Amino acid sequence: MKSSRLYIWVFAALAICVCTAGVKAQVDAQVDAQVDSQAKVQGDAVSDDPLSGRSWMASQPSWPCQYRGSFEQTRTLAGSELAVKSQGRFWQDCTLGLVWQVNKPRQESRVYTRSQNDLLISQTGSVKALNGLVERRVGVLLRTVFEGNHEALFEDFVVLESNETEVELQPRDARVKAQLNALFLGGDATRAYVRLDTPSDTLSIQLADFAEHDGAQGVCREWLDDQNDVCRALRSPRQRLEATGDN
Amino acid sequence: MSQHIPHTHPEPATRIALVAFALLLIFLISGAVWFAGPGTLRMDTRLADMGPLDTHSSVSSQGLESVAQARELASRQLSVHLESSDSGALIAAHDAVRDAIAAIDGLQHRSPAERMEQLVDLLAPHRFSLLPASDQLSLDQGEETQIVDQALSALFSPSVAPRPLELHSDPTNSFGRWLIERVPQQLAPDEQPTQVRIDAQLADSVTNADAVVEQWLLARETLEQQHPQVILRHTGVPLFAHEAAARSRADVNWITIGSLVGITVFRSIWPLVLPALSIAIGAATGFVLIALIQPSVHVLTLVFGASLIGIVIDYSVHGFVHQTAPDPNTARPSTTQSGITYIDGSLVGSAQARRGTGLLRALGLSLATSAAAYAALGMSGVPALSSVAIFSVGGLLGAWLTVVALLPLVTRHARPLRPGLIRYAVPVLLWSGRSLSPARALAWCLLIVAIGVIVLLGRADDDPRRLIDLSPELVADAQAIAETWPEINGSELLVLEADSIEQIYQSLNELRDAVGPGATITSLMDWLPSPAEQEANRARSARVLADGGPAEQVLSELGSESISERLARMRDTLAKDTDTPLDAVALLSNQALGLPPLLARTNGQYVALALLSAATESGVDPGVARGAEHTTAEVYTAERDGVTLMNAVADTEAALGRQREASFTVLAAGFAIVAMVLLIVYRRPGVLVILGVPAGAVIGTLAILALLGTPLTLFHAVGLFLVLGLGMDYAIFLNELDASAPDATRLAIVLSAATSLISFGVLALSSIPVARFFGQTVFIGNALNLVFSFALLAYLETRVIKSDA
Repeated sequence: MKSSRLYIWVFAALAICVCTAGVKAQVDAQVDAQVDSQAKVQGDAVSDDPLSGRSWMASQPSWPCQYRGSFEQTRTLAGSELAVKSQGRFWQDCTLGLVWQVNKPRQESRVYTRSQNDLLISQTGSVKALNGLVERRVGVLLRTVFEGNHEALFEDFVVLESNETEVELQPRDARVKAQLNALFLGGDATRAYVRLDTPSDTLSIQLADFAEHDGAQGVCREWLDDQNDVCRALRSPRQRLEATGDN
Repeated sequence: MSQHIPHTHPEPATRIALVAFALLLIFLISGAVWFAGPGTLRMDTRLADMGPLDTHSSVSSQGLESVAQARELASRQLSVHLESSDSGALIAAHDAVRDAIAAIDGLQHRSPAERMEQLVDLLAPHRFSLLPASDQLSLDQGEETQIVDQALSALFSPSVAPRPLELHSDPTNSFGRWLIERVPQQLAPDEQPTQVRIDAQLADSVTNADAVVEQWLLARETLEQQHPQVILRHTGVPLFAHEAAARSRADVNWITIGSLVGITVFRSIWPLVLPALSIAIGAATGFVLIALIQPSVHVLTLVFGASLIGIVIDYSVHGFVHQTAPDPNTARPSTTQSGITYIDGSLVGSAQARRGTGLLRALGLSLATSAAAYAALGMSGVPALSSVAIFSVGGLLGAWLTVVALLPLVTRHARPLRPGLIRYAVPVLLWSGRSLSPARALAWCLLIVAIGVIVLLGRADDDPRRLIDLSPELVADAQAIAETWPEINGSELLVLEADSIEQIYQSLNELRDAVGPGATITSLMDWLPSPAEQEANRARSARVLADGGPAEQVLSELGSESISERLARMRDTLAKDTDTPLDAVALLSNQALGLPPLLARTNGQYVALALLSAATESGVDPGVARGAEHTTAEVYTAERDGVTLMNAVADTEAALGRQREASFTVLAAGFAIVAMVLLIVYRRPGVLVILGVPAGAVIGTLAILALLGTPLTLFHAVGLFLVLGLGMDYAIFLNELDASAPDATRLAIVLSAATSLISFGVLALSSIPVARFFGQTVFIGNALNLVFSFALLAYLETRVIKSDA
């Protein structure tokens, strides 16, 4: 009789031990999970994972909808010691598009509109549609970069390397990759740069003198007084093209 | 109680057969060793190979060769189509498919970038012959400054246009712009693609395409699981062929199983060994013979060849039944139910010894007549049918030798057979045969002949599409892909022939003008300007490279050094190009580019191909476009010499139709040859009455098919050869052996007919239309053979026609 009681006590003690251990393990697991989760959240905020591109995006100033600036462009051609340099200014409006005006060594303007009716306007005022496949694709890329639309950019490109000042991107599409090896974006609120590496060229564009502008009318009066064609093209590119009869 | 057949010493004929059999085995082993290596024998699966391309008498052999090459190239292509509204997912799936293809041994995928590199290497020395349209216009209008402006503007723009050659080799990047005009999608693909296509080719070295496709299908399953947002479709001849081959294999298996089921009545494994061995050795003999004579074997050859199992099993059945049956003069019948005498066992040995010669003679005659009928098939002129003839004659011989040589060995271990339900068939057939009076038989024959004549003059359908019964999934995939990329379906080709390449270009230009918006043409012109245009471009380029010309202006503007040296180098390239201009034939036949043979040259004659396809513009209904394309091409070709429209479907249909008609002629010739064999052997005209069995069966089959509303095809006609062979077998065995061993003879005929009816009944239900047509024909024909054999028996009971009787 005594021995059977003893057995009952032993089994009861064992059962209590097992239950306690199980509950403790579960609580520990929950605590660990919470700690992990908090660490992950904190880590995300400060993560320096070069493949996420987050640190670079976080460091980017929030660009205004309407801004302008100047550029210096250098094109290095493969197999040549020549560096083809040009200078000019650009004008960005997130509702209308981008104007890219080369001033040196020649004068011409490119208008990359939101409606994708992109135009080349020469010094003499002749208008030509930039409707080739290559021009169209470059137009889209430039608009995306100058709008600061990083989400759209990351849809088409994969981050190869990034830090707070620079991000290196590579096209996801193998067919695009064959023509564009890499895209580098970097800089801060006062200076920025874009670099495109292709199998034949390296195109480096330095951007500076950023300033917010107050819309198309003001800029056209202030900057483009001698090239109102550009402003007209920006507002209604299709009509501008038809008016010149050059497409 | 187990009853075994007593052993007897082999007869001289059997000894000869054993020696021949040993030689056959040596031949087969040598063949197996010889053909064991990879690449020695290719399996053809295309239906087009069944019909020769001799429908266009106006097209030269070189033209036909080019068409064959184009179709061969197309037949090795596997196209994968990806579709998704999520371009990121689409691109990821594209890369995964490309990697999956690269991992499959025997499947090649050359990326557009690789092809472009190859093209640039080949064309760069001739770049001054290849000017973009805008440069030609500027130079012709004397506006060289526009070329300079364009070149400099591109360099100062924030754009990155493809520039395949360095600045000092092509200052105006005219070559890069010319390439973009030619292959825009490869140099500047869509920004946000929703559909992409990846083409892969079966490597030339691939001998087992089936295994490669099997690997792809496995990879496809994984890809679909990994990329659920993307719709993956695929199409291509290798996929169709894989499906057809899988179905063929299943059919062959069913025929074999069906044939062997009947043998189970022998109640012992030994009687099963003989037919199985004879089938294996017969098939091996046919295969080795084909491999010795031809570089490839058509899959349908194997399907038809496998059907010979029906005849081959006859040898085993007759041999076994007769060798194990008692002598009617001395044997004590154990049972006399239904008029059939069964084996008693003790007296079998003497029966076997005495009837050995008669059986051998009957088997020999059976072989001779069947082989003669199949040899006639070789006269059809269709390569695949000639293969069937070779395979069949070789297979019959191999199987026959096996049976004759091994029969004594097998019968030594045999047990009395148990015919089961088959025993009841013999008296029924005997009754039906005897009840057929000569007058009634004549009336039936006349009716059958009348219907047969109507059939021969009546319905036939040679449309090859009727012969293909693909799975709905494959058909849907092919249709969906063709809506986006109609060139995938391009079965229509225009063959242009001329004495000079300029004439070819002139015809292509006229064709391009003639074809409206409903169709597009892929031709030589997409890749290269004509020699005259190239010459004009060289003259224009000379102006570009002249002192003070656009090239110098661009280099000068950019501050380049040693301009005169660089110009001199470019002028040197131009001079070399003038001396040895671009050889379009060599370029387009370069396999690395993977282009169809758009231009060929033989003995000063040029042959060009133009691929017609429906318009790709959205809004144009593909069906309407395809119709427009066809009409335009037909009108165009009808008006011009040297241009022929070749449509794979129409060509195959015409060839199959001609071969169907030829097959009936050859079948008649087969009957004539068999009649000659009979006359030579029996030396009396009366023996020809036994030809009435297969003749009645053939005509009756045609009549029944007509009544069933089945249009005739070449494959029905081929089936009739087997009906002839089987019918002759039954008639010969009745004529040769019925007098000495009536029970065994009749039982053997019913048993062998039962096995072949099961086999071809199964084949008549096949999922492959070609095999189904064949099975239907032989099933109906052999059922009639059986009935008519017993009608012949009734006739033989009243007259004696056997020469030595």
